[in-house]
Amino acid sequence: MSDVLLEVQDLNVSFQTFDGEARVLNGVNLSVRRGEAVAIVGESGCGKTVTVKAIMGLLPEGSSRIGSGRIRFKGDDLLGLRSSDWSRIRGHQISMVFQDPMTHLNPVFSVGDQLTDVLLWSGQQRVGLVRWLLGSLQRGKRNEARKRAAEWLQRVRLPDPEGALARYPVELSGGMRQRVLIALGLITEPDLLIADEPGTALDVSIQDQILELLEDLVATQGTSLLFITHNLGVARRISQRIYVMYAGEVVETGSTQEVFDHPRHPYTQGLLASIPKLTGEMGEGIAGRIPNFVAPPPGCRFAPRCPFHTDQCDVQQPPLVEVAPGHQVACTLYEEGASGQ
Amino acid sequence: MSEVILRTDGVKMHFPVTAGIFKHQVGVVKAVDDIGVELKRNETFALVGESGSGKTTLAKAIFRLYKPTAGHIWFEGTDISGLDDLKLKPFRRQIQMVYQDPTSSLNPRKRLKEIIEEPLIVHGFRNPDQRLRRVRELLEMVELPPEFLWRYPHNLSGGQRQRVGVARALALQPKLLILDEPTSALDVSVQAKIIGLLRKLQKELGLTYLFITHDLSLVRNFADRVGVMYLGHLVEVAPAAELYTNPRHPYTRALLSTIPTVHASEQDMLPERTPLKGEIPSPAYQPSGCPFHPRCPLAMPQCIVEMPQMDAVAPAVQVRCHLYGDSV
Repeated sequence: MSDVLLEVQDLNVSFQTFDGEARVLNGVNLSVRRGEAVAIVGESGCGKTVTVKAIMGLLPEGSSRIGSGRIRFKGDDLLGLRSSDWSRIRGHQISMVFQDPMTHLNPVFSVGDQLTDVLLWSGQQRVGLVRWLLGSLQRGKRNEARKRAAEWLQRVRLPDPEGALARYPVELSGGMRQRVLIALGLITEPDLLIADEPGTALDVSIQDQILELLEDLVATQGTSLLFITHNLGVARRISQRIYVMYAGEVVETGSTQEVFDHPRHPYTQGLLASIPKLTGEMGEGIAGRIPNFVAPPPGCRFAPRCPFHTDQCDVQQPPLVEVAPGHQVACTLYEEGASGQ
Repeated sequence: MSEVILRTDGVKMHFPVTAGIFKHQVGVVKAVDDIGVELKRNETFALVGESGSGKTTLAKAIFRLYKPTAGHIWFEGTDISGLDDLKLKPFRRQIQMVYQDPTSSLNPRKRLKEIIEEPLIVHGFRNPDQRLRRVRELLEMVELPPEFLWRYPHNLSGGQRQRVGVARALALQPKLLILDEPTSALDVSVQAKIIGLLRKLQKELGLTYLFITHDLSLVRNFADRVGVMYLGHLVEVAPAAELYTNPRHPYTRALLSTIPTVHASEQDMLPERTPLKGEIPSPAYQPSGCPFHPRCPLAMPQCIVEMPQMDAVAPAVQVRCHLYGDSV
């Protein structure tokens, strides 16, 4: 369990905007071990999607810039990869399940075509006529891929998997489309599955089914899971370890149980308090809004909204400090050696 | 002034399905079927249910954006279900709506002053100074700074935009406010702020809220009474505290059991896990008998044939389920 599959070190990403350079990610560190389910939580604009897009090499070229940092996956440095090498990793060793099942399936190809494509595509960007004809002669390979696709549709518990291969996305309900997307992510049996808020566009009962399915598949396949969500309840359910992000920085990390039971960072505390509870308690929310990324606060990015704000917070970005085994917090309240609250 | 501000009786909202060049009717979508609810003055009544359950359609029928196919809607003793536009106008001032998406429900080309002032113009407030004074008052009510008067919606954050939506709805001093998922597009820390504001306004202005949502944890914190909808039918009505400690309908129990929680103390409050199988059927092809029977873990032969009635099983609690009927 101890070997690290994915490691992100001091990742900085900025975007070119009208107002100047927006420093969206500011020194993000995170790691995913083999067979582990890790969640990144945070509100909109905290940089969680940008982080995974950087990992997948999907940031828009031109407008975005990776300033510094390293992303290592099974020892390979992903940031130095050429696009031809990416095809070996993306979709095969790391795949992604997207948030919105309505827009991430191609409406003009059948479910079967989309699933077999992932298996058969081997990295050619351009295919000449001869190659295409040769490819279409490989009936055996194609049939095998179709069989595998049907098998996976069965595994994501889609009713009538054989029939579904011939169907188009419009013929499926939202929950069924999300299942197809999960099959699409797992069919190549990747080492790491990145899930960007799957199910949030769906009803609670369907979302529950999707989460159960993911939990199940991750456990049986031994795939590592990096789960991105803004719903802390969902993160608590699915992950073993958690990263809380605010304005492009990891502010707190630790085992999910530990972070939820003893949140230390004022932002995590405020966020948890804001969530309506079944017990009838609900906090007041956090005043203010996320900072401007072009001219972020000089020290801690949460400082302007923080109820425990001191002068020291404006001086320097606080480093992650270990407050309990495996539990790290980036806040001046927990300086090295101090026992905290 | 009676205690009940709004009462509906057997409200149905059916939409015809047509086909062919002569648009002959081939079927009917029963979006809302036989709904009777009572809203008491100064309370928050929540309608919960999955998408396709008809909660927004019911709200729109009450708001009289739709004319109900059948049934009656009494607002303060007057039946407004059959009134024409002209006769409805005085009632439009009394019932207002806050929409789900604060970005698309505000005109991007108008300044906040114009947006908030528009209902006043429509309802014949001729004096511009008076209108401006009222708009300033409203901005203060929703805790926005006065200089926002001259800004455009795109200058505002999501939470601030939703405050503008609330201010616009309050412009005509309504008695009943329909809140259609007012916080579902917002982050939780912002949601808590908006809910706090709505609570404060309710107390100050004596408003009645009809709150539509699918977030069951939020309902527990905000609503006094809850109506659970499934496929156009009301299946359970209960006080919020009661619904969470003692859910009765199998659908309510299943919904509650799947809520993702963040605190260990909440876990103990959830009923035993009974996840729902399958998906909500299309309202165009309603199952026979009880609409929930194909997904119900406790379905009996009777459920397939006969539609259960809404039965009062405890004070203020009504359930539509054969498990609680007299006939069992």
